[in-house]
Amino acid sequence: MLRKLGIEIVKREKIHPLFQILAVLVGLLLAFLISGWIMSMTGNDPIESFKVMFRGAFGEKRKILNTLMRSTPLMLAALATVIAFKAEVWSIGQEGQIFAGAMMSFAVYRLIDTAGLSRPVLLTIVILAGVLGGALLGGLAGWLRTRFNVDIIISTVLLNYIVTTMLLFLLYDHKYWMGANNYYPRSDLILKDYWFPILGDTGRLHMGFIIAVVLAIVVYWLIKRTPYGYDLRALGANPTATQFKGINVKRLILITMLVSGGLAGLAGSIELFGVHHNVNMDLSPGYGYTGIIVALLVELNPILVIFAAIFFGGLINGSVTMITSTGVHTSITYVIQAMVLISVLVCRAMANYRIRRIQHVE
Amino acid sequence: MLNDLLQMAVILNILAATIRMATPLLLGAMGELVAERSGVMNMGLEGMMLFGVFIVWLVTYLGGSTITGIGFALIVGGLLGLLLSVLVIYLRVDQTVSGLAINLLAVGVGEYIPRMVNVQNEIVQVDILANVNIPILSEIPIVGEILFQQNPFTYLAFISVPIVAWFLKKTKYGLAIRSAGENPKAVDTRGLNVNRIRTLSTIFAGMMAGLGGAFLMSVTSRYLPEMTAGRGWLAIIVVIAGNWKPSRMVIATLLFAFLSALQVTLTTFEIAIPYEFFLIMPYVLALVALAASRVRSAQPAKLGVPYSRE
Repeated sequence: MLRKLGIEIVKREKIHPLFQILAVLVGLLLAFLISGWIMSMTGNDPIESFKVMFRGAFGEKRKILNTLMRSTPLMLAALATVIAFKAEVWSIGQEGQIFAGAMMSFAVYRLIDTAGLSRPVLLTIVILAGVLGGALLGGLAGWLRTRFNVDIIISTVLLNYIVTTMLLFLLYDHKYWMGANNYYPRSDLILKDYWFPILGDTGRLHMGFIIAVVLAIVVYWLIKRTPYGYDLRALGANPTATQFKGINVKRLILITMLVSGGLAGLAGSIELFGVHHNVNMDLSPGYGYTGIIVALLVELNPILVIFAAIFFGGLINGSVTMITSTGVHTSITYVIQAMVLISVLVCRAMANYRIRRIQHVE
Repeated sequence: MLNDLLQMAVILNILAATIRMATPLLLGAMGELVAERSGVMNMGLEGMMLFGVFIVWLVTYLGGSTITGIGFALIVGGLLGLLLSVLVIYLRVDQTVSGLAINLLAVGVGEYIPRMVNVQNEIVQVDILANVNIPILSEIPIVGEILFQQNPFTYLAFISVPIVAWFLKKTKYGLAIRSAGENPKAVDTRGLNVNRIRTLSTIFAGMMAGLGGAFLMSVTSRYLPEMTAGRGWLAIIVVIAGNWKPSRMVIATLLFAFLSALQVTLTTFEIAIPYEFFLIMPYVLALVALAASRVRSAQPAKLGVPYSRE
């Protein structure tokens, strides 16, 4: 059909990096245009709503600090994604691992509750427990893959459902974790002495943000500079060749899932002790999935993850202001996120091609 | 004596519910089978199903009938299949990521639109499709009660199994679809368009998933966000556990459906086993089934591999 018009689509031999950035920007613009259109369909003014959203995210110091607070779990979930996807291990279990991390830290906290430990000691213990919780869940999916050849995508999705249902079980009916005076399924608050220290004089930004940023750099170093990172990239680039090089692929997949799960589990522990201070079902409103989008948006670059996570943190934080002043429900952020993913994927893929005029007719 | 009768009634109830609950899984899985046979892994099944649920709700809210809603669910499902095809087949985006995009979109739209259009949070009742008793057959004791007093969708789902099996195995279109998944180059050499075959198969998968979701809505009547609760994923697992063979897929489906039926029926009784235990049973079984299904002899050779002539 195109040929009749005298044009054809051919693959580019080389893509200019600036062109790639342009593709992402066009994708973002497109995503906001479509989301705005959906907003206007439900009778809201999209431009006004986006303005309110932006001011709610970055308008003043307190709001910026809260945006950074929201970006923390996204950053960690995105780093978990980077580690896994670099090796072409398609784990989408970050959401469940966040919950597993929070659950493990809370379980350990309850065990040693009365020990009267100092805050740094207790926080170190519960953070490690969170990492362990996430790593165990990730490791389970890795083990199912290496031992029984169960696809990681599917096992991680199933484990997400299983873990959140288990939490539901622990939180309902006043049997286990549910607070005695609570009507809703949530636990009692953690003792205030053991909350994460707050950074800054206003807002709710806590120490977890620093941990996440440091880990982004660590992950960068891990992938670029260590033998493990080299194997990881080799596995992603060519699994068959990796096997022939004498690298134990199964072990590598298992380690990757442990590390990836650990990072996501850490996010759960941080959300618990830094933001919510109790266990509830909204501990992660889809941070695991948003983290995947963040990682894909920056093509799995751990350093750029920091900035993309802040962008999405702003989106989530801004939506809270938006619902109070314009009535647009916060769930619009899910629509925006999905649209960002789809349109950036499309624009980036299209940037690989160009339209050429056919010079001579065959 | 009375106790025996009661037990009998409960068992009948569970078995009839098994057949009913198999419906969305079977519809989704048969569509997925066709797409996978053609070489496309549709990871967006959960989202497509979710859209089906949501569309029927939306049409009802806007004053349409359930049947109209089902029609729109089919169309939207097909469009989502087309979207996935464009992403996976033509733009060569990774299949997991493309599927994820559709799933997330479904979650977002399915929560945002109902909240925004139905601000007062009125109760919207979707008209439940009435069960149809098949003449004569439904009169048979026990069997009739279990199998032949069901929803029209349920009959459709079970009839779709032999039809899809026959279509794939015996028709030239079926052959083209299977070849596109096994040896796309040969299909291309024969002058058939591999990408078009795959696109049409994926659109079919989307429509079947939409139908599965529409069924869920038309038996539940009250809408909840993320109502499909992983049924789309279970449908994908049914295909793998059934080794891409329709008859085995039915067995896998019935197993999952039985567990769900058990949950629905037994939670109305006072029993010691917690409710959440039944909720996670299908997922645990799915993991076990996947771990046990080492035989993947019938997996299409080029599943998930984009085709190009170079």
